[in-house]
Amino acid sequence: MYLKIIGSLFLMLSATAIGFLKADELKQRVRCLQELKRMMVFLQGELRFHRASLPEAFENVSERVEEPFRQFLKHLAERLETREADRFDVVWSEMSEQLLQKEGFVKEDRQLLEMLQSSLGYLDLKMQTETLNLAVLQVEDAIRLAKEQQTVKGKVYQTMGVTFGALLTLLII
Amino acid sequence: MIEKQIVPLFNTRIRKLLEQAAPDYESLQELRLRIQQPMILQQNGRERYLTDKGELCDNYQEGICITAKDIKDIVEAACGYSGYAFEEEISRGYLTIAGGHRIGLAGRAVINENGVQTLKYISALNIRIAHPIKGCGEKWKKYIYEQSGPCHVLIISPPGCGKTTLLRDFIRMFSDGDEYISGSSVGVVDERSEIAGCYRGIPSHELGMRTDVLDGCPKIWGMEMMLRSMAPKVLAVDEIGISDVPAIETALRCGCKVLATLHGKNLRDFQEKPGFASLVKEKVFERYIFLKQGQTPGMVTGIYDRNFEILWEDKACI
Repeated sequence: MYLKIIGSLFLMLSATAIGFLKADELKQRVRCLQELKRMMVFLQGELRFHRASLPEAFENVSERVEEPFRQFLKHLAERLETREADRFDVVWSEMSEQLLQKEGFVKEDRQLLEMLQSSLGYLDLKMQTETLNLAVLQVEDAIRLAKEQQTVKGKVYQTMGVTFGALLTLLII
Repeated sequence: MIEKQIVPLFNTRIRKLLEQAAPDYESLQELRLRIQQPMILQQNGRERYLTDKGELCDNYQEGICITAKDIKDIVEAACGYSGYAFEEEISRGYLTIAGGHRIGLAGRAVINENGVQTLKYISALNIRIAHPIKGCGEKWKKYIYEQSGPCHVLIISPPGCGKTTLLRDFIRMFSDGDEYISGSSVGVVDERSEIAGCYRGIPSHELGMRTDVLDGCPKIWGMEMMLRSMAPKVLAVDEIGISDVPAIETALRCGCKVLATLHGKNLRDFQEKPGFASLVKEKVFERYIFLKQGQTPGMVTGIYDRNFEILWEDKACI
């Protein structure tokens, strides 16, 4: 009997934790997108105010943003400085793939990064700032959607976790 | 060191060949690349060609043919994949990379109402390797000082004779001083980033402990800015032109010593140069140093005082 009660409690707690973790993932995604927006705004400033080259801008901005963007920009700057590949888009694409594996990203975010891949470094300063402007607008849209999802789905996940845990407990007992 | 600065400029194809050929970068003066022509490496006044086997040869027919993509890749790498950040330099026809090496560009100029806006269809590059030679000016130290301190010095020579190399060493000497002469604060207006070879604000070449560098600023504005902001005792500029003469005259009126270089063949050529008549007439410069093309950069042929009297002359050139 004791074993049943301990097992049921364990199941209940696990199911609730899973629900809360899933809800936290949504929160994490919002944070991630907000940091992506911050990164883009900083890059815009570096390009417009300092007229920094891309490796220089990436390095400077890496010191002002949180992970995972800090490492992303730092490694990107290093790889561009050492000119490992002949083209910028090749390096950006490889590094973006690594970034997208991290927590907080979804498949649709690939589009946001791909947009910069083909436009950064291309033509004049106006082109750079307008590209980043457009990217910021798209990230803002993504943030709005993610927040909506967080509000709706977050509560659902939490409730489902608790309910599912309780249901399992009832079934076992 | 030079190898690490130069080789990464090239795309994978040329980089591999260069790594195999391993030219002596210390004696390398320039690399010339032209579309559909062999790549030329100028070493000790001799032309060599890079082959597709990764060797250096003397027969141009064996040299690898440079493509438009090769040129594009080099320009992109030299700009850090950020052409927008180098618009100004490209419109002036050159790029300066880490180490102070200069890449000259030739292509089709795009003109607007302000002059050359940019270059497109870049078809030729001249990568000039900077070789600072510390101490190359020591021999001439006694000629560039008077009892009151440094003189106004003008270094004159045709291109490629080592004007900038000698200027750089004079700057270092003026700045550091020695056991007999105290050092002076030197302001360098480095319009083309060639004197100091600044990379992200840090000079690549040794210019002395009392030297301030204003990098990438046109001389005509930079000289005045330097005088106002840093109050140097000596103001150094490279390759002055007619438009810089008023700024030089201002510097002279401020009691600042001027150290400059100028393109020219000989004394007569300088005296007859249009636009420099006021400098000649007022005997502004106290020392004129003429250079010639030689085995090493900075080979002096003659030194003249303000009255164009000979102070020193290379007998072999008479």
